[in-house]
Amino acid sequence: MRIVDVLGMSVRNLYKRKMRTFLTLLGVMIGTASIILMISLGLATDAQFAQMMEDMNLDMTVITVWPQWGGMGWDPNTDSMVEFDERELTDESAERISRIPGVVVATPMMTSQMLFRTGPYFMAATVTGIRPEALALMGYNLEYGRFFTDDDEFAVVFSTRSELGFIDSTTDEFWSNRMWMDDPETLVDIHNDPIRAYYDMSWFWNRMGWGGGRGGGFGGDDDFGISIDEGFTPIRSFDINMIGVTTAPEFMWSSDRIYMHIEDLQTIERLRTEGERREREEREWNPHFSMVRDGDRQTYGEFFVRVRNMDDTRPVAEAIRDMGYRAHFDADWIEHQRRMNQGMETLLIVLAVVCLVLAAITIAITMITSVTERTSEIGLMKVIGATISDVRKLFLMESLFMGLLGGVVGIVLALGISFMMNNFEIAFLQNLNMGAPIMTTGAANASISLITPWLCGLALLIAGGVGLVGGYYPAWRATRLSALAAIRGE
Amino acid sequence: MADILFELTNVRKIYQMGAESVVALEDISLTFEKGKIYCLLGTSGSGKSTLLNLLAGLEKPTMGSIKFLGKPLEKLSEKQLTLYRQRYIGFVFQSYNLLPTLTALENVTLPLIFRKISKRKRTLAARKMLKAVGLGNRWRHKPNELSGGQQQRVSLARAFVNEPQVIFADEPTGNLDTKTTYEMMDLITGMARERNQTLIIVTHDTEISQYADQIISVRDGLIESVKTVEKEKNANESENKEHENEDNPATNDAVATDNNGNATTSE
Repeated sequence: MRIVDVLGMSVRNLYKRKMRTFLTLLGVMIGTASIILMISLGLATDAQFAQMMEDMNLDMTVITVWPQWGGMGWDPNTDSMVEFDERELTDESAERISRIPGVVVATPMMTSQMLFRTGPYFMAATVTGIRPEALALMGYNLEYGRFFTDDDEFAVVFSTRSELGFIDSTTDEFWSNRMWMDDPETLVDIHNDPIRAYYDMSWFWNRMGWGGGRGGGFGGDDDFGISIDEGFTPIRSFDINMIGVTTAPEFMWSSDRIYMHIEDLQTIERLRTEGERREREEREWNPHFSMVRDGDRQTYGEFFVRVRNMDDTRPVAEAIRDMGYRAHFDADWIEHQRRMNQGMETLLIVLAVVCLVLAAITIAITMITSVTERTSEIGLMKVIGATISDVRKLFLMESLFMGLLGGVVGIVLALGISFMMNNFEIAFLQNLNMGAPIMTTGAANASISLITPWLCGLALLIAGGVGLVGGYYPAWRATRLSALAAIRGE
Repeated sequence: MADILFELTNVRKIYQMGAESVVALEDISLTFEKGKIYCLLGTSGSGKSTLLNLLAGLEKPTMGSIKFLGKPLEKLSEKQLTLYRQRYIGFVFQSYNLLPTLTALENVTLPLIFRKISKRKRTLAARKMLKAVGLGNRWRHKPNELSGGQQQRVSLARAFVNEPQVIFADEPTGNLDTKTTYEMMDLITGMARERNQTLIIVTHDTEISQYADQIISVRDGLIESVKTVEKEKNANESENKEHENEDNPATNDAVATDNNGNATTSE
């Protein structure tokens, strides 16, 4: 039999049993549509995730290292809970980490809070202490001026957006909201205005209402109208020497930091601690980010390690963890997210496969009914010259056709549903949005469901496959019917 | 001597029904010649249908040999038997067995479809055939839009369309009224003779057997008698009947009974 004739006869038979064919198609249609939608949700999540990665500008070659505080903890290297020994980050650890193959630079970084002031304008800012030689290696690019060297004293490098942090002390403003403005007006000209830095933040904390009871404030030449407590500290403020403006590398996540030589910052920290000690006041500094004085030995809260390329990140991080420190790199987090997404996707696909199996069963039942009903027809065809393969082809073609037709309608249905999901805000469907939905700031134009041409092709293939699988047994039964018995049946 | 189409030697057919064996054909040796019309006459259960099935290659003999144009059918594979039926055999059934989804024309083309004949060619052949059976203008109709007689004509056209060597007609008029029965028998025998094809009719109806050249009576799996019907007489009789009586069936019936009586008494 020619394939055109097989097709023709199959279509007629399906058409003759319209209602039954329709119901069967419904099954395949639902199965196909569900598998497309399930995969499309996964694809959209992946695409969103990729977009998010792009938006976040992650630097995959930077590893953040923290000291190990000891105790029970999760070890990412072995993916298990482990009892850790306490281990501090020191200059010596920086050196050891630098020797790990693939490491470009391992540098301690410390951060501290300081107040910057010019006239009535002030800014509470995070100051990062970094080694001068590490600046360029960590990816800082100067926009103006130069970086500090070992010879500079209390030199400060601003970030491009640092100046936006200044607020007017005569107002009730607490925080500068200029950071989030599109075209903010700056209050301060960092290049020309004389800026003084105060490492004693009491005035600021008081202003914020977080005073902690220490009266008075700071500022020798106080424009803030607060009396000076002489003899409190040898140095509580200094005129800054602004030597450059830099853009921050991607891993810093903030574009308003202020940078100093790490040793200067250590000195300032020491003075501050000294002063506080003298005051017998405890102040809660975040131990995580700040240097802790421990005799003459410097320990650090944080190291940054840059590796040669992305492939080095994981082995280097693992080596650092093996040394007993905590290490984090973004790829780790991404992988974790991806694994979570995959878990969800797998679940959805299992559901869709169940739908398809049901569709295949529906086809099988329909075809078995059809074979039973057409026993005498099959017999007749065999008697007048249909080969076994002709009979098989006739029935397989019918089931394949049902599969494909159901598939096509299913694809259309899925496209329709997908369109609705993407264009109408359906609350419960939004929840299907997997993969860190909070962070998808660009979610406004992000798709919930993404149907690509290859997905349609795949779905059609699967639908056809379902048809063939469902039709295989009925077709086999048809070929096994005895021609004679079939004829006598009527 | 005419060409021998089928040659059966000591053919036995035994059906195994559970523990019991039923002998359908005892021991049959027969020859069928090309271009003749045969009738396998017998009551139901006599084995006549089994004989037809064996000849058509639908069943294999338990013992003995059936040769078609010198080739033993029992040695053919399933596929070869299918091809054998495709090429050499045409079938007419009691219940017409038309495919309800196909039009009359398409039903007629069915054997050609299985032979992979192109659509143009087979449509042409089928239309010619439908014209020959007198249904030239009803080719578009589906079987359920046709009367029993018309359906059997379609089935007739289907049997003849691939120009077979042999046509098997299994109780071809079983579902037809008397008048249509004669029309049908005239048509089928006429067409077979015209094309010099062998026609093997299976029936329990002695009347119908009169259309044959040779009547083979089957009883309890054995050939009871083989009787040659005289052609001239047959022709004359039918002519006479047509002229003398308005009620064809009645007279025919009488003649047939006579003949049958003769046959049995002679044994």
